[in-house]
Amino acid sequence: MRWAALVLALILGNHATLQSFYWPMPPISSVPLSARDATQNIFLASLGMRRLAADLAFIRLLMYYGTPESGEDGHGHSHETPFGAGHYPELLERSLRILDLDPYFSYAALYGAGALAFNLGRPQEAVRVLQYASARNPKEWKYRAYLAAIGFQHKGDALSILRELSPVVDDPDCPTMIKNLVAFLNLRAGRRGEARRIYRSMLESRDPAYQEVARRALEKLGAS
Amino acid sequence: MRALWPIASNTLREQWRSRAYQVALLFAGVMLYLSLLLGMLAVDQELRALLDFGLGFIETLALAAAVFGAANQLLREMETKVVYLVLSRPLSRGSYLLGRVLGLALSIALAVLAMSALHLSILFFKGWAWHGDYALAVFGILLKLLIAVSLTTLLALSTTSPLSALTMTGILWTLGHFIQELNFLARRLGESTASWPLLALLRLLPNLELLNFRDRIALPEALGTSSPVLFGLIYSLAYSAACLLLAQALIRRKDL
Amino acid sequence: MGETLGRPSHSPHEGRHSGACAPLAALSYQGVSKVYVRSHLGRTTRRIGLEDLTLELAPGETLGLLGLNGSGKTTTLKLALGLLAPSSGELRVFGHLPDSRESHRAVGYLPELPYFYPYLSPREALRFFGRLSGIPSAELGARCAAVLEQTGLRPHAERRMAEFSKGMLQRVGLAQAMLHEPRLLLLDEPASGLDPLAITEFRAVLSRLQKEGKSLVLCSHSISEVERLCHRVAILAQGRLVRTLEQRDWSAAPGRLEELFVETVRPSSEGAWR
Repeated sequence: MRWAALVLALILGNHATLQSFYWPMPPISSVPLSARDATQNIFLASLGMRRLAADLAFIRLLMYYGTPESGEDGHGHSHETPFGAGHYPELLERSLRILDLDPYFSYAALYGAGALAFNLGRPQEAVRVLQYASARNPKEWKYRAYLAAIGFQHKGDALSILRELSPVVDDPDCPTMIKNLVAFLNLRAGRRGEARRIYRSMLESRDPAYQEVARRALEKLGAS
Repeated sequence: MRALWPIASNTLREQWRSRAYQVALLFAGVMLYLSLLLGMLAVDQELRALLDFGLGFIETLALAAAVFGAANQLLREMETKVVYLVLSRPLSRGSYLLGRVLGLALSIALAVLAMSALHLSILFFKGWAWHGDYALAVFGILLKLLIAVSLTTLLALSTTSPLSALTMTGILWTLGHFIQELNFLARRLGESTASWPLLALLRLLPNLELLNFRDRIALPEALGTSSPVLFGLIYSLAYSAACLLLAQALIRRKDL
Repeated sequence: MGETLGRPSHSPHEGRHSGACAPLAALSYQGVSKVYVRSHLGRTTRRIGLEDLTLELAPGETLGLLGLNGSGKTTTLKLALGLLAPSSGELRVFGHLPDSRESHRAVGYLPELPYFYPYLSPREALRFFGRLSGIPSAELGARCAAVLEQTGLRPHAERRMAEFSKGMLQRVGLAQAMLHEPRLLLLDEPASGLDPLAITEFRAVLSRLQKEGKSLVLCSHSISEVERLCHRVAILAQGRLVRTLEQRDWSAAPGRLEELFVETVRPSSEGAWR
C-alpha cells in the first residue's frame, strides 16, 4: 500500500511538472526526416544534445560553403570560382535545418542569410532564412536589421545598408563576413576611421582568410 | 544512517579503482582534445562548439560510468557474496543501498567536476570569458546523472541483470529527452484510448529535458521557470528519492 | 581422537524445561521453513530449502550442522542472519528477530569461501567491517590488531587481498567474524582451504572462543572437525532435521560420528528418516 502511494505520488508530481513544462525548441519531429543527417540529428536529440547537432550542421555548412565550386567553361577547361561566390544551391536548406535544431543559433542564421544576400546575390532566399529564424526567436533584433539592409541592397542604397548593419558589427554574434562588408562600405563612404576599427576587430576572427583580408586592408589604410 | 558513510566511502574507493571509471576519465581527455579539433572547424563559432562538444562529452562519459556502476555494483556484491558480510552487520538494507548510491553519486560528481575543470582550462586557453551559465549546465548534468544512478539502481534490483538494467536505462534516458515529442504525440492522439498508455508513460518517465540546462545555455528566458535551479533540484531529488524508496522495498524483500 | 570439549554449564535441553527461569536461547528455530520461489517467464518454480526446523542453541554451546550438499545447512545459517526471510515459523537470535540490529550486533558470520574487496588489505577490510559494526574509532585499531594476531594475519596485514590464497581469505573471514566480539558465531565450512598448520591454529581459536562462553554453529563437511569441537550435532537431509546427536553418542569410539552420519544420510537408509 505504501509503495502504491509512492508510485502515485511520483505520477502526480511528474504530471504537475509536465503541465508547467515549457520547452523552447520545436519538436525534433518538425525537422524533415528526409533532411541530411536525420539519423544523427535524432540520435543527438535523444541524448538532449540539440545544440551540438546544430553545431555539427553548422560545421558542415561552413565546409560546404568553404569548398570552392568547380565548373567547366565552354572550352572544356575546368576553373574555380572566387572565394565566397558560386551557386551553392543547398545553402538555404542547410541554414533552415540548423534553425530547426537550434532556433536560437542566431550566428548561423546571420551567416547563411549574409552569404545568400551579400555574396551570392539571392536576397529572396536570405529573407526566407531571416523570416524563418525570426519566427522562432522574435526577440533577435539583428534579424530585423538584416532584413532592412537586404531591402536597401535591392534599392542600391549603400548608406542605408551601412546605417542598418553598423549596430550589428559590434555584436559578438556578428559574422566576420558582415564585418567585412560594413568595413568596406564605410571605406567607400569615406569613413576611414570606422573602417579601420572594424578591420582591427576582424583581426580577432578565427578565420585566417578574413584575418588576411583585414591585414591587407589595414596596410593600405596605414599607407594612404 | 551511521553506517552510510563507510559504505559510501568504500564505494567511492571501489569506483575509483574500477576499470570502467578509469577508462571513462581517460576517454574524457581524448574526447576533450577531439572537441578542440572539431571546434576549430567551426571557425568563428569555435568557442560555442568547444563548449557544446565538451559538455556533451562530459555528460555522456559520466553517464556511462554512472549507469555501468549502478547496474553492476549491487548485483556483483550479491554474486560475490560480499553482501553477506556487510548485511550481517548492524545496518539496514536501506542504509546499505543508500550508502552505495551516495558513494556512486559522489564518485560521478567528482568525475564530472574533474572533467569540467579540464574543459574549462581548454576554454580559457581559447579565450573564453567565464559565464555563470556554464555552472548551470554542469549542475543540470549532475542532476540528470543523479536520476540515472537512482533509476539504474532500481532497474538493476528489479531485473537482476546488469545488461537489462543498462538497456532499460538507455531507453528511458532517450525517452526522457523526448518528453516534448511524446507530449505532442499524446495531444495528437487526443482522447482516444490509444493515448492512455502514452499518457501513463509520460507520467512515469523522468523529465530530463527539464534539467537539460546544457542545451539552453545563455537562454535565461528559455529555462521554463523563474527559478530553474531550485525547481530542477527539487524535481531530481524527488524523482531519485521515489526510485530509491522503491529500490529499498525491493532489496528489503530480496532473499540473498 | 583429539581433545573433546566440555559441554557448557547450561545446555538447551536443561533450560528448555526449566520454565520462566530458562536462559534465553542463543538461537531458536520454531517450525521454520524456507521455500525458494523462482519466477521466470510466467513459470513459477518452488524448491524447499528448509522444512519445519525446530532447533535451539544454548548460550555457550557449540552445535555442528552436518548434511550432504543441498541439505539446507547454509539456508539454516542465512535465516539466522536475516539474509533470507523464513516462509513460515519463528526464529530468534538471543530473543531478537534475525534481521534486527540487536541480532546483528550479537552475531559473527563466516561464509563459505568468503570474498573481500581485492584492493583492500586485511587491516583496511577489518576497519571497514568494524565501522559497520559500530565499533568506536578509539577501540577499532586495537580490535583489528587483536584479531589479526589471533588469526595469524599480522605479517600480512598490509598486503592487498587480491594476492591472497583461499586459505588466507578464510583467515580474514574468521577475523572479521570475531572482530566485534559477537556472542554467537555462525561458521560455514570454516576449515575449507586451510593448510594443516592453519587448521591447528583455527582449532585453537575456536577452543578459546568456547572457553569465553561464545555460542558456535559449525557447518561442515569435515566430520572430524565437528567431532572434535561440537557438543551437539544436527544432521540435515533434504531440508529436514533428521537426527540430533549428543556428544556422548559419539565420544566413546573414534570415528563413531562418521558412522552415525553415514547411516543417517545414506540413500538406503532414507526410509529411516522419511
